Amino acid sequence: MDRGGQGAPILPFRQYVIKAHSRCDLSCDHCYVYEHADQSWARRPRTLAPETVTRIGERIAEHVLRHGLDEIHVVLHGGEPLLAGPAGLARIATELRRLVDRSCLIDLRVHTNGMLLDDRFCDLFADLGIKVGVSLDGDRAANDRHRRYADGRSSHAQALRAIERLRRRPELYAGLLCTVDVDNDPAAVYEALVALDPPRIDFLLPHATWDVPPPRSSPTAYGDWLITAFDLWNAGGRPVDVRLFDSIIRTTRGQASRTEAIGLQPSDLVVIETDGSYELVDSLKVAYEGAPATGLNVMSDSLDDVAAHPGVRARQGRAESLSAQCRACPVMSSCGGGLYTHRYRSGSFDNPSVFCADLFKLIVHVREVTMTRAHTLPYASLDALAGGTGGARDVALLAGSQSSLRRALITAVNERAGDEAAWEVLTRVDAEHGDVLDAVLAHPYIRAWAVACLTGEASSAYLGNIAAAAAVRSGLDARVEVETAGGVAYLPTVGTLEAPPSGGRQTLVVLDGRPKMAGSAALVPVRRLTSGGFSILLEDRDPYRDCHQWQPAPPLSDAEADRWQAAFDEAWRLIEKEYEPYAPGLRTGLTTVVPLISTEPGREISSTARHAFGAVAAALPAEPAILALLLLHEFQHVKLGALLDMLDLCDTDDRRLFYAPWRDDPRPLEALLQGTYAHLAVTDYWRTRRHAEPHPAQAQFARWRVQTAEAIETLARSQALTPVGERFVAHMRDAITPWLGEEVPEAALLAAARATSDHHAAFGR
Amino acid sequence: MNIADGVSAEVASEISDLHDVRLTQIETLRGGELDATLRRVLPFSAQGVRVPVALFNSSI
Repeated sequence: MDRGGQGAPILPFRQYVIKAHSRCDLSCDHCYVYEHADQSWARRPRTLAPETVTRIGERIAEHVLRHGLDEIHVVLHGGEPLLAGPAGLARIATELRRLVDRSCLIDLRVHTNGMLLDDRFCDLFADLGIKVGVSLDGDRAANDRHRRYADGRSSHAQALRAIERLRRRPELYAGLLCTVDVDNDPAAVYEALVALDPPRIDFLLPHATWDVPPPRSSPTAYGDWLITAFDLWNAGGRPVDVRLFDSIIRTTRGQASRTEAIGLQPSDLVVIETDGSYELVDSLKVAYEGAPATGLNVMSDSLDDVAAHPGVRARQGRAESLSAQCRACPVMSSCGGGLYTHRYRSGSFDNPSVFCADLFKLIVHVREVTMTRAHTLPYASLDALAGGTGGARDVALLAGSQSSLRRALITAVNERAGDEAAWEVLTRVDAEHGDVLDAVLAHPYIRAWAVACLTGEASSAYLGNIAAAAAVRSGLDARVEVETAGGVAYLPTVGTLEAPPSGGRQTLVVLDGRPKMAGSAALVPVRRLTSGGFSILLEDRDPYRDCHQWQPAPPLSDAEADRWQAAFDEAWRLIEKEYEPYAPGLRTGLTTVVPLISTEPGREISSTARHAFGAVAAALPAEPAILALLLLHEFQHVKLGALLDMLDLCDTDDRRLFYAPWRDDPRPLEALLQGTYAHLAVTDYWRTRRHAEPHPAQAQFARWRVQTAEAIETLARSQALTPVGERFVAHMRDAITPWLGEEVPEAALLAAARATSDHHAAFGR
Repeated sequence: MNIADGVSAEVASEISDLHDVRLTQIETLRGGELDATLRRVLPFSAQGVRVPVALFNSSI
């Protein structure tokens, strides 16, 4: 058997293809069940015996419980499953729901050629919650090229009748499956399928191997065919979910593929035949006689036994299980070597797909079309950020995507509740002084306001304040209505103007770069913190800064601001001296510090807000060194939040909660990822701090290196990370692993072990 | 596509790069590009990202 992760723990099955009937009423000449190498269908019973159905349900229920699965997918398949009749299908579905439904959701589907689909079947499927997918190869000419009765009659009209039934009952309509034939006109096929309003189209490459290659007129005939269909789909506004195309786009974004036909997702599928035998993926029937066989059966073997079968593991090895040619390919993360079956050549699957050239051309085309004007992140930057730091260029890429988000958000605000005068100023500054508008929009709390505005929690009048700030900074004259509150009008990144006590909207005029309101005194500029050549805002006025977990401090007195300045200067000098790898990223991305109210003496309080990239909020700690720690810690959240705005690293629908060593309550996966990433920097802080301040730094380092490493393993085992999330977590592990071997005094190790143990005990672990 | 050393060198996001797109042009972006960008951050339009099963899909 080829390479494939044999040493790994088993991956539970989440997909079950149950052969409801082993024969078919059509005689399609491209069928992989009857027309290729494996002829095992002829030795199988036509239908599942009742005791086999019950045993299948028991096996699945046992597997679901053992592995805590919350959802499984079951496809009733064939042959032609409707040949089992309504009673036969009802027995299977009812038994599955009786045995499994209590413990997890079942997504139950049937794949049919549609010849027998009538209202009786539709009523049954509605009663039992079964969705229906229909095989149709396109328009009549395309469909009848292969999909015919044994006597040569067309199946097209009957398939259309079945699909019309489903269109009248959309809750049952799962979609259409189309096998590509390059002799068919791709435009005619695509248009014919789309005209039937399917919720989803699956374009399937015909099953073939290097030993029995597909018919083709050119080296990339299938790629060219699919590119034509893709271009029509894309130009038409993507009117329907086409799983192959969507999966290429998703994998380009570091997400998981939605089809087994491409991608690096490990297979978690098992086929159960009408005699109860477990088989590997069905399409292997085209490789050689007996290729899908496992020798295992529901009557004698558990699904865990099947999951440990080498043939199952061979399809779970991700990149390392691919051929050398595939591993060196620039589109490997999208292609994943294509469908496993299509790699077969003379006894081995250690080859690229027989459709390699087609998939390469298609994927490159889709990437070129869809990546135009998208923010991208080099894997080198992702890896650098994952390692805990990230340089100036890496953080600038995050900041660049945030800038685009803010431009999109203020445009959306203007569309929703536009202020003509403010928008005219903003567009004028944008056209004549684009850098100035960028600098104003980079203020963290503009996004917080825009999101609040778009969710109905804030007024759009603040658009005038942003426009006024842009006019002041660019020296353009303007007259706008601004929002006032608490006796002031706040102009982001500029300062505050005293406003009439009546509040509400007031007219503000900018002349020669100076803002004026009726009766107002001179502008009070924003406060700044500086250290060496580094300068950031000390934001104590912005009305939208109250988006952190803790209450912001009221406007500071000059004495309080001086204390912040002194602490920041010392903290920043410490960062530059002792934590130099973090400094370039901070210099690039940290723009603002917001003072918080200290609620408990001795307790350090700090926070970031997902909608306020570039800002760290904190209560001023007693020690500047602790301010340095808070900045390092919180800026990890700033970076990861921006990264999560760009890319999906984990399954946000995963409802599980996980132990987090730094919390007294269990945390969702994304929160655990955030905390772990922050504690990578916390660990590094104490690691360095040991030399200047052995107590408590040694014990803190000893504790957090172990617990952060533990959290990294929890993330890695969650099976809820996207491919790019897996890569991120792997680089976090690479960063902390060397620290685990560093020497720490025995007393500190004991103190760390005690703290860890106490936290575990308090948590009930 | 940026390719370096024989492997894909970057990962794409759903956020459109609007740095060089004038504010007046952003609202006319084609193909729901603006919506796709906003979907990343607006809570009312955020959809969970289920790590999907690479689904079986064989025609019969």
